[in-house]
Amino acid sequence: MAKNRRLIAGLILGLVLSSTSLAQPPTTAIIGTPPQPGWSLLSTQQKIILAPLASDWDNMENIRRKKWLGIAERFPKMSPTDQAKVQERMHEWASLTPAQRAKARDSYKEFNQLTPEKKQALKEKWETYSNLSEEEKQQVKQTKKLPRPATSTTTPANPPAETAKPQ
Amino acid sequence: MNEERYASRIRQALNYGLNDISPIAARRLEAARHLALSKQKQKVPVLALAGGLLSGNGSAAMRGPFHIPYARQIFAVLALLVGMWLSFYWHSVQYINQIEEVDSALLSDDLPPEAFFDDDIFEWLKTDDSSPD
Repeated sequence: MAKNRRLIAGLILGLVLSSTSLAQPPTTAIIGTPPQPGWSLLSTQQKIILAPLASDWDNMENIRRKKWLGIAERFPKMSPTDQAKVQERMHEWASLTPAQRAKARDSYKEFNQLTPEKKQALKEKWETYSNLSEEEKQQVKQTKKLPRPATSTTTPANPPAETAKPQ
Repeated sequence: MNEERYASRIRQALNYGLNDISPIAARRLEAARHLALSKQKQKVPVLALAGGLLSGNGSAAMRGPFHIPYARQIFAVLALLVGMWLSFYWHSVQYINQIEEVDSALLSDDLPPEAFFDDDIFEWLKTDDSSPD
């Protein structure tokens, strides 16, 4: 009986510790992260690198602070172009919901599995999409197709009878 | 059964014999009994692992002023908690390293994060539109 009770207690503890949604960090990782310094305790270099996060820093969980401090450590090894991109996207990234960040990470891992040709095609597609107007973007989301460029529109085989009616 | 009867007879014989023991022999027996009991007491702290470890001296810990009640249990719980926290710490280091690596690559990629966090858009981006409808 005692063994069974211990087994059940262990299972419950395991379930409680692992019962976090995929968007949230695991409970064990949250508990295991020691307290991280507040904004005023950061070094000057860390403050310069993490400047876009200054207003959010003191409200961040320890686990996110530690991650950003890790990125700040990697920062000097990045190219100037990459450094500019990271700093430009930092604030926007931090303001996303945990679910959006988790989704983006999953998609990015999937993206990295693609062949170079597919990656290039995807980038070109994104380039086209990002230049669309908001209305056209909504249309793409609904139809899952890029609108045809104006120059490529040809006279359809069947004349648009309904649109001609009002005239 | 025979053994029990035999033991009972010996006990009775000893009890009758008590009256005939000389005072000197009685004192020697008493001294021997005290000595045996004192040696038996010394064995207890050796088994008290936590008490011995906390004080550095088993027998003194059980009798001295620094005796901690439930020391063994407290020590076991503390060891368990420290072990659990170390395990959680290690897990957090691994988890943070992993997301740190992904985030730094994602934020410095040619594609912006918007391309990845919208499920519909990313699925659409992955599809090959080159084939005719």
